[in-house]
Amino acid sequence: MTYLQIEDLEIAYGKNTILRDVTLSCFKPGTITGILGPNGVGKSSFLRTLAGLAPYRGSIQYDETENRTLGHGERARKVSYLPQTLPQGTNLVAYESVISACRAVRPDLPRHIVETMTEAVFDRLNIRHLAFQPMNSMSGGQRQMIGLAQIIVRKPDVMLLDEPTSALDLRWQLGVLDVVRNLVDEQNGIALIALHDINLAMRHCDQIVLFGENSVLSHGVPEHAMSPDMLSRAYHVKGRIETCSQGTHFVIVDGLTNKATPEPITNR
Amino acid sequence: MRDPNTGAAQAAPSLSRQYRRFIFKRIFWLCALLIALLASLVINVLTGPAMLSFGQVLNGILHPDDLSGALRVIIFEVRLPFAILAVVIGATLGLAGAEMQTVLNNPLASPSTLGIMHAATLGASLAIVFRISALGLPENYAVPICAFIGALAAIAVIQLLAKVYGATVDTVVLFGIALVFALNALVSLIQFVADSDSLQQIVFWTMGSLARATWEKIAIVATVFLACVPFSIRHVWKMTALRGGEDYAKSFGVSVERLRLLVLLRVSVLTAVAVAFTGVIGFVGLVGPHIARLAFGEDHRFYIPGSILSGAFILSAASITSKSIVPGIMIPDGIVTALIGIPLFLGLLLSQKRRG
Repeated sequence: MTYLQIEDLEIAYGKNTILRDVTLSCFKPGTITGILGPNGVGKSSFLRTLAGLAPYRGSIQYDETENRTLGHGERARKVSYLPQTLPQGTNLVAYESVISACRAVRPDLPRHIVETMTEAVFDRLNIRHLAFQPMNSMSGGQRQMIGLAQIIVRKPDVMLLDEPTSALDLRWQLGVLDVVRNLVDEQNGIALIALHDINLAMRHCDQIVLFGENSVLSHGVPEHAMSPDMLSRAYHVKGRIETCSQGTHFVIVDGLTNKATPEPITNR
Repeated sequence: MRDPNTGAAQAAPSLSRQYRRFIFKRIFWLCALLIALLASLVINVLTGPAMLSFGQVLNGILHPDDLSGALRVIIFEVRLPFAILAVVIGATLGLAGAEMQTVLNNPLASPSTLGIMHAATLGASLAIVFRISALGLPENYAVPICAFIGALAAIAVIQLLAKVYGATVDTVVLFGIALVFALNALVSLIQFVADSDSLQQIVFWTMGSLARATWEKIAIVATVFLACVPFSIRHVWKMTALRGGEDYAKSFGVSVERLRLLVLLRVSVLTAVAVAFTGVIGFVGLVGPHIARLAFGEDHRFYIPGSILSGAFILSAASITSKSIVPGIMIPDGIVTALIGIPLFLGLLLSQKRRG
């Protein structure tokens, strides 16, 4: 069980401020948090920073230990980060990729334990058929699944997943989010998932953090954090929150506000 | 899966068992490559104008005291050092190339990518043209020492620039390419002012040759190679993880910047010591790793030994060919490695494509 606490976080690349004044203490063990917001707003930078891959001002604490004071190996044992990019198409078979990920973090683990963990993750993700396929012969979606297998093989307490379903079809999207849910429940862990599909987040996340204009616009349970006003402020769209016959909340988008064209995506 | 007779559930073969079979095949092919290398070493020792038989050479090696003076010189001063240096230099360049390609995430990287070999050529050219006598050492060590200093200076410049500007891997490669052009220009300038004897020596050095092999040189290169191998073994998992991408490796707790620095230093020393004694033999460090990648994949537990053996085999086969094309004349090995390595490499590439 791990606690994550963020206070006065500021992320900047040179003089370009990506996020500022981010204070969040809502990441309770056993919860999935959806990180939402338009392109270029800092979702990926936020997750990279939590993963210790980018400098920051302010405070990020895992179990009251400041993130920047954790060593690479120490952090990797606690926190797993799935980058937005897919794993490279190399001449490694999937099984080797997952084993090497496990070994790089835990070189001390006995071979049979690593093999058991690896086999378990292939079963969990239902990808045994890919185990001995070279990464350079896989589709983008298959490589994304292997990337995810590399991340969750160690059953981390904290999972930071940057668009883990971007290359997946509907069936695998739901499958992946179910796996994340099971892991979070088993480990009593925390998952932060950056998503572009708002309805996927509404359905699978316990809470949402909505970013816009360099800071947090709203956070809380999905039906409260996401409102027509927030949709308009974050995405410049007219939308409404509806509840279906099964009680699930959905966002329905009716169009752009004032028929405005989207703002240019800034390169961050 | 269900048993067709009993209808009972049948366990799928475990992935770890399938993986062991997968690994066994790789070990088998590594052993096959090792045997091919040993065979090429024996053939190399047997090849030469003196037309010695296998029995004569074997007997001579086992009973050196029974040999005549001329035979002893041929076997122990010419044939054996030449053949063993080919293996040691090939292995060294194979290791350097493999690690370079991984750490720079570039399949076209080789020990010559960052200008290390060109810097060695500049150092050697300066020693030849200005007849530098290094630190009172024997004259035939002046050129290798200057080449070695040149190679180390090149990597120091690149590391310094990378450190000062916080360069990414792509920028490091661009620094290296810029350095290659600058060093080539300087070598050309030296060639322009060199007298005809010096010019001939420089040109011969740039072609790369094992002809000046001695036991001392073998001992020096082998010591550096053996000193570097344990560090390569220590990094196999991190290097394998790095193949997935830099961000992935970092998320597995790999300090990529530190790993890159250590590997580049190791590769620089390996390259510098190899080319210092033989001149520029560029092709081995590029093709050896490619052959290993095609044959053994990129799990560095197999890729690294595969590259070492491939590099050693290519240079060993090239050195046999260099003695055999024109009897009595040794064609520079740098030329022959390219002529041998290209068809070998293309053959493997095409067979892999056919297998899909």
